[in-house]
Amino acid sequence: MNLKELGNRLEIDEEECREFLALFKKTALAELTNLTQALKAQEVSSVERIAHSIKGAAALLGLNEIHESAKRAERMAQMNRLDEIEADLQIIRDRIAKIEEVLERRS
Amino acid sequence: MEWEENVLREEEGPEKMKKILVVDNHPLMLKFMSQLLEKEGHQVLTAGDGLSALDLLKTFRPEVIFIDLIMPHIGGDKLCQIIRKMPALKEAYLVILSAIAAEQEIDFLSLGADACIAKGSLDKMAKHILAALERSDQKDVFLHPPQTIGLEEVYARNITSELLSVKKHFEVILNSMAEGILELTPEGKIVYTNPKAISLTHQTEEQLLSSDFINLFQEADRQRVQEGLMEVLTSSTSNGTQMNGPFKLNSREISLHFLPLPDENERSVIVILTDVSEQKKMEAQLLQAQKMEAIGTLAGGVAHDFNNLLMVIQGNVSLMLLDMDRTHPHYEMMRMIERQVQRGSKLTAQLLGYARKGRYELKRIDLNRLVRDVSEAFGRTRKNITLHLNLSKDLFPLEADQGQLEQVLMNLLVNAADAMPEGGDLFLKTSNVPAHEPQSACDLPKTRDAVLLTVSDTGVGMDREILHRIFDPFFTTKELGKGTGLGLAATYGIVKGHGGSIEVESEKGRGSTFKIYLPASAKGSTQRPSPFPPKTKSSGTVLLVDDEEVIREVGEKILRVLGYEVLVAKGGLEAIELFKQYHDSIDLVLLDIIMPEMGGGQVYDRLKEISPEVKVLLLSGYSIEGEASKMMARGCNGFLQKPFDLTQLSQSIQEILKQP
Repeated sequence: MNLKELGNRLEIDEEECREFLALFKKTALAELTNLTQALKAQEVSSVERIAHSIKGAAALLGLNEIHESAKRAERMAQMNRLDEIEADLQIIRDRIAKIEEVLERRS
Repeated sequence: MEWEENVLREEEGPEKMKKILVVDNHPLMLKFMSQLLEKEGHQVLTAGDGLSALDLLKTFRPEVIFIDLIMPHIGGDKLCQIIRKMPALKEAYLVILSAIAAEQEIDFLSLGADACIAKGSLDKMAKHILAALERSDQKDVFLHPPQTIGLEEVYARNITSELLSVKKHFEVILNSMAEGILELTPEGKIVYTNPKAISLTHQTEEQLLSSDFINLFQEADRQRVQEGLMEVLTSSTSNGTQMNGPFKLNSREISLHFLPLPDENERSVIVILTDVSEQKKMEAQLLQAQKMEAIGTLAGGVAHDFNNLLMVIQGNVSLMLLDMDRTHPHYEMMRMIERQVQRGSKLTAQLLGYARKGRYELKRIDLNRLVRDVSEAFGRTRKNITLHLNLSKDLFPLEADQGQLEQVLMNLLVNAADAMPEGGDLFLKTSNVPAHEPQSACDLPKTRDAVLLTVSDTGVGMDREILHRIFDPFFTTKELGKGTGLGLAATYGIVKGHGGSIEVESEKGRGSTFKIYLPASAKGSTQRPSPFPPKTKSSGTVLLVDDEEVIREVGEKILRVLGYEVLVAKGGLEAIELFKQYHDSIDLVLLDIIMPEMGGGQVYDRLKEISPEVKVLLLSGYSIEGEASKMMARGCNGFLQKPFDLTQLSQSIQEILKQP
């Protein structure tokens, strides 16, 4: 992932892209924490809701992998198959870690 | 699309600064939109949910508002509707941002919105948003047909449609429930209402949403409700709090059930409102019925024994009076005792009347005569009241218990007189109410003729509060010691016991009118002799049957004094034995109705077997419903209510002996 490329795609400049990504990362990390808690407590509707939110935000920034994973997690929650979510959660965590790297590189 | 937008761009002049509000629950969207719009030179305020948006809108008047459809704490759709009802924002341009546009036909026009943009990636959204801003200036340019912008760029999302269908399930349930449901933020603001809650609170949805829950209740209840709410909000393991109250909401009584609703970030509360008004009413009625039942049973039990002991007092006094004349130093005191005995027996009569238990003897009554007699006796005691009688000549025949009707009329007269302490006018009227004429307050079936007795006074009258309670037992407006609170209760019981109904009209300062409807009968007549002729001595043999020793003693004494030969029996069996032996010389049997081993009824039947022409005078403390009437119907010759005095006994016996 390249800040410049992403910025071009979204038709915003690099600085703006950085800011948005940082905000996305911050929000998503908090949401992931909540989601993990909800998962542990087997709160299906909470898991669904949080997955839906992450999905939407990812779509905004064109982060397709995160978007697709969140989409799958939402569907699993909907069908009450919470045990099948872990894989997608991991993908999301990984992608966010990547974003963190990119953000740190420049600063 | 591109072409269109280029054209628009060319035409645009310097952009006017707009005031814009963005409402979305994701901080990323808010940041993006703020930056985008501020770059264009506009003033942007943001809000994370409907509630905060409404807060801002109290002082901020934006020209354009972007609203995310799916948000907690008042969803986008409700927010739109509320905003559309606010006069200050009439001209505002509302744009809905929708992540679910692909799944659902968003009828944004019906929500009151002017446009709808499907959420997508930043670049695409930027375009649509700016385009929407353009259009906000040209209100009369519509897309034909109105459609969601950016729809073709959104991926179909199956999951979301399932989410939506589940939501619809819940909506159907919530909309049809008999309980009201509200959702509250931790600050106690309402963010969701179902239709029942709306109807219970008598407010519109727009008024309720974002208002304070606590304000729905009256001052006196607010503290308690707040406490219930706090308990659920602060307790970490709460399963909910039930508050039965009931709390007053408009004219209904409701109970509250608070349930915690843990959210990701904070704790909301669900409140279930249940209308318990009907239940409370029924509970009150049941309580009332139980009270009446209890008093009735008590009254019945007490009355019998009480009247028997009064009989003994009366009996002895009568005997003593036989040896005195007016000049005797104790004469007045004896008479006083007699009067008090009568009073005591009237009190039990009231209780029995109220309990509808003393239904003694139904026979044909001349109502006009009764009214004349009672009002005459009454008039003698209250000289400052003017009585006006208007008695209809051909009244329908009436069957009733003479004594009880006298009691009823007396009660009404006494009340009327008490309402006019300085004196006044009392109007008594009797009239017919034929079957098909309107009879109000009617328990009486409309197919029966009825007789109407009206008692009107020009006294102080009663207000609504009092009117509601006048028939309640022990309710009185008179001072302590002056009123027992039983008069009207007894009256009500007696009237009802006769199958009639009673109505009151009254206005404070204008006097009161009582109307008593009694069903007419269709049978023949016997008269009870008027109450006041002299006592004379007589002869004959009487068999006295009573299970109480003191009654037998006093009774025997009295009868002897009156000149009769007396045979005494302790109970049914002894009576039958004696009768078998001496029935030829026995002229009359005085028979107590309530006896342990063998009831009066049974005894009577056996006596009749032995001698069919046996004459029987029934005595009783009280009779169980209609027992006396039944026996009278079977051929008993008379009935005497304890306590009776010498005169009454003598008179009754003579009456019967006179008959062939």
